[in-house]
Amino acid sequence: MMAVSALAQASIVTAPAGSPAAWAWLLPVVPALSAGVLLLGGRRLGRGAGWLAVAISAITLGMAGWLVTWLAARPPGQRRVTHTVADWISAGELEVGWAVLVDPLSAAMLLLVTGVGTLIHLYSIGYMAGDERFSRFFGYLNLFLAAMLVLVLGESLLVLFVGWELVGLCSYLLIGFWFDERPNASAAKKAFVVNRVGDVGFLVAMFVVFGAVGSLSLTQVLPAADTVAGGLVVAVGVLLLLGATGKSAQIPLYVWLPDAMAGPTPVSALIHAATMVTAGVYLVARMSPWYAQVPGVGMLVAAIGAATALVAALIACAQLDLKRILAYSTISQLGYMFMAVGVGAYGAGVFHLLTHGFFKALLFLAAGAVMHAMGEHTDIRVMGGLARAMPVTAVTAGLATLAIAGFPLTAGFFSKERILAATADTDGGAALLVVGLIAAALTAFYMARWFWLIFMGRPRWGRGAAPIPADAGRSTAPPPPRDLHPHEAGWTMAVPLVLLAVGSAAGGLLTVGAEHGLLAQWLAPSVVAFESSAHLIGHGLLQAIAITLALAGLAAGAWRYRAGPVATSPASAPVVGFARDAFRVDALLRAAVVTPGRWLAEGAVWVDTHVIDGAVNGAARLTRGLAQGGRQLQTGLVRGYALAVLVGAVVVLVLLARTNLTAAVFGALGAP
Amino acid sequence: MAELPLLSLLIALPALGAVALALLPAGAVGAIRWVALAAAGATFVVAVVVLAVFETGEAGFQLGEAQPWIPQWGIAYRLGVDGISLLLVLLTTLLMPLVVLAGWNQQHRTKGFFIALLAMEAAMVGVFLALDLILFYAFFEVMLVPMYALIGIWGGVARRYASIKFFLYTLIGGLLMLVAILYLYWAAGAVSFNYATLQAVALSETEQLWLFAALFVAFAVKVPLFPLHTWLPDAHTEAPTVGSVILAAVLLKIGGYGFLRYSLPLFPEATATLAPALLALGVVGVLIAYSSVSHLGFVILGAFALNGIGAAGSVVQMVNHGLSTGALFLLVGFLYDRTHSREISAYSGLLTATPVLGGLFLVTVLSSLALPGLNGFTGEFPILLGTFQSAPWAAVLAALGVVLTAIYLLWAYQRMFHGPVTGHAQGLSDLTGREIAVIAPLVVLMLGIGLYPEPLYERVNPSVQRVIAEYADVEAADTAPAAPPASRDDDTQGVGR
Repeated sequence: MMAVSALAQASIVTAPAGSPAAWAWLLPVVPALSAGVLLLGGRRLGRGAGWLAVAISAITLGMAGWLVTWLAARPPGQRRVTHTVADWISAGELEVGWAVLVDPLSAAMLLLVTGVGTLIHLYSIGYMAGDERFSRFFGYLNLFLAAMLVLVLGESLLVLFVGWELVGLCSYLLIGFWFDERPNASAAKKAFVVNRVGDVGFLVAMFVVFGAVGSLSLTQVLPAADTVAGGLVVAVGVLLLLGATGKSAQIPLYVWLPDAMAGPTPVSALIHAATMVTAGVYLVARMSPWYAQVPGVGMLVAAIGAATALVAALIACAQLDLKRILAYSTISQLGYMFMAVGVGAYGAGVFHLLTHGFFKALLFLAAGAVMHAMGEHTDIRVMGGLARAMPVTAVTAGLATLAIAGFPLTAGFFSKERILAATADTDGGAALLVVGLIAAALTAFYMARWFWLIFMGRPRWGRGAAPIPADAGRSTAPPPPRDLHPHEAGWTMAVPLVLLAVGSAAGGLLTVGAEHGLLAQWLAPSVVAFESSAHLIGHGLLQAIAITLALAGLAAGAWRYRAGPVATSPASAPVVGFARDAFRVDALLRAAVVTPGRWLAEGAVWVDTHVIDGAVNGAARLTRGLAQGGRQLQTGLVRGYALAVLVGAVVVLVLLARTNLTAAVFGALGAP
Repeated sequence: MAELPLLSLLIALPALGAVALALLPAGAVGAIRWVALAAAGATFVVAVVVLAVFETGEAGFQLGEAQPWIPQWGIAYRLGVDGISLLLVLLTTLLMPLVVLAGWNQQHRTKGFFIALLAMEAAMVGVFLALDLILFYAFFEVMLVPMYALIGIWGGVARRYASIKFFLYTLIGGLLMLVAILYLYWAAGAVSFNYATLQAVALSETEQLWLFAALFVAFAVKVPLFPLHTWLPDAHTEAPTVGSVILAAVLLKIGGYGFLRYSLPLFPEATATLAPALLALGVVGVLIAYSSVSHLGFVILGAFALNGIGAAGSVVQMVNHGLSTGALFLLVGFLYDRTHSREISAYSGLLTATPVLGGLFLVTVLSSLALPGLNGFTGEFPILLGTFQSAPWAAVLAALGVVLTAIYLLWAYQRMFHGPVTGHAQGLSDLTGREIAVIAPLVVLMLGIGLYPEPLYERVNPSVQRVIAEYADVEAADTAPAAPPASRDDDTQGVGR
């Protein structure tokens, strides 16, 4: 058992009237109204629709900045404030209000969501130019911003859940944005349904919490953790974890995220990399007092994270689509965050959440720029040498590649190192640490492969086009046209790349200063950290190992793919093919869940039409049959009737005589 | 204000409208439509006045009216409204003008069609307002006739089978209910059919069980509860659009209303005994059956959770289901008017071809699958939460229904609205102004109730508390030794393990 000392959280106080926190509810309301305008009448605004959305997003960034500045000026013990705007649902004893909770944890998320959100809004102006549903896209983006802010600011589990579901809706709408293509629409539906499976866990967790605490308000729920029976806390921890695995694409519910790449690339960057998918991490951090009660459940969170990090990294090594590689990479990196929050290292987990938000958003935006340049082609085997045509994209993407690989002094280096160190300081964390290190090396490898095949080496498009090596690759898209002239996109796409590159490079600054870094210190009032006495390995040595693995992975990836894609050797082809098919999990799910589900549904229909309606119609037929029989008797011939009466009378008399009922019957008649 | 018999007006206006239509020549189609719309619209205005004078926070019946009807048998014309019936009356009277508008272009036997609609409205409102059991029974049975006509005359190909099935199911339920009402009357000393009088009758548990069972059939058919539900898909397939809307949006609510108004308060001990079985039937409905059966399964769960959270949620769920399913049937009807096809597979790419229809349909689908922020969630969540507090297993199973609903609704939406524009979608015209005017109020309410359901809950809560509290008193007297909170904890821990 881990030695747990629940460091007390700062108590939650009501926001002073007129303070920024009392206005924080406007943060989601403003983009929501804008979304309404854009979706109802955006067409008339033309390109202005995009700029309106960008402006609204920038306004929320400004508001968030104002709010966080105000919060930072308060003493640490008073940095958790709530404000109730209105009642929402009061059914019997259930009372939930529209209320916000502003604290260091939500503040960190606010800045990430509005900051990266604004950059991606700006990028989308260029990326989505010319799309026939331009204004609708920006309406959805603003709606997403609003939903994400509800999620982050919600003061009760239920309001958090509202945001949780609405970001899922936006995800659905945006994955299926180009719904004329059936696969896109299917991917959207898959994402929604898989997330709903996780939502059942979230819902039931709320039922249990309400049964135990009598409220869903975080102000009541968080401090009550140590008064609730242990079994219930375990249940809540596991159920919320189920919800988190859905939203954050962890085993077993990660299968929707790779397909989600069907959406426009800015969506992949904003929703499916930087913000929405981190909601599960946020949820665990938010409920830290509950997880602190049950470190065993925390270890389950960490173990799921570690397994996901490894599996997704392996799959990423074999993918051919530039966005799918990044999608599996995101799943893998979210696994790291789960490892961190699972062992109670919330500072490290949220730190990686932020740095990942920078470099992964950047990688996706770079991928989008590449796709534009390549005529929407996504197979990395037909790219190569794009650095010459797109220097800004190449340099910024290169920085992000170094950051995610953990190259020394980049943001990712610091945040990943914090996570590994946290597992090293956890009792029973050895396995987590080893898996984390392996996944780190794999990350460096597949990102080097990604970068090299796209930007370096000789062009394999245009005049350089050559047959694709005949390994286990199914290329779905046609090869890019011969007369391709890739070039940088406009400034609206370049500025976000550059700013995110700055974040990817310098994000490590959040870690300087206090003992566990500035960020951990800032978050301290919000979360209940575990303390552990374990110390599996010296931090200096661990850092050396991590750096060595990162460099080795980068070098291996660059070297292997220095001259373009490599044909798979016959010996390794089955393994690579298996990984390329994502370990055939989708086929497994189809066989194990979807098909039996369809049988069940068809069975239910059969029961309905044959058993239930069969009984109903059978009863009708029986009635009709009896009536038919009865009608035969009604002949209209008096002789027949008289005979029947006679026979009947005789039968009755005989029966009465044979049984001893006669006396009884006549007795009854005689004595009314 | 109080002198005006507002509740009687709610029943009389549509009834007088129907009479007026009967006096009009059958050829005066324009006048017929406008009179129907005026009658339904005026009724809604009166309902809004009732809402305005209704004292929020009062648990009991308000605006009561009582006139002797057949005094020698103790039958009276007795009306009253509480939070529960108020919402259902508002739902009914809001939908009827929209239904009249939706059926505006009815060509076949126009006069009879609108007479049936208005007669339907009078009877439905009467069912919700009646406080004398014979009066209730009368309205309950009168409802049958226009609905039977709507399906049987203006219905589809297999309308005879569907209408007779509907008629028989409802009639048998109704007759059993009449027997139960008469038994109650005799048990009460044959003085009155007044709801309050009959509620005070002391009954043995055996009597309660039998009477509960008799009412159960009547209400369960209406809900409809598994396995008495199979008349519904037939009725919906064959009924004309407006018939489906009335059926789904209002008629089915009478089952849930009946359970809350009659079964629970009249037979508390039987209710307590049978609640687990009812919950099980509700769960089966939620999980296996058709969309409406599933949504109304939630209503049953909330009612038989036997606590204030669940019961209040189930009233709100009835309103919400009325809005979202009403809108769904209207939208499908608009589509059917254009193409005369209801096969999902006959459509593709509608969101591209008819973006307004597609957008409104999506909002309605999302409301129906209980997306937070829209109305459906504000009823379903309290229901599940309340159910969990008394029967965790039922709530957990029903929560799985949340996934199934998402699967079938999104599947249907994707098949019809996404994909390339082919088949019927080609050259299809988008919604007209009249059609948008029909749907818009419903969509606005979906959003409004989703964000702020308080106006509903603050009116429902007191009335529901009264039902539940009466029940809880009997329960406490019955099971005095066992401390309820402790047993509840045990239940919840059972799930934790």
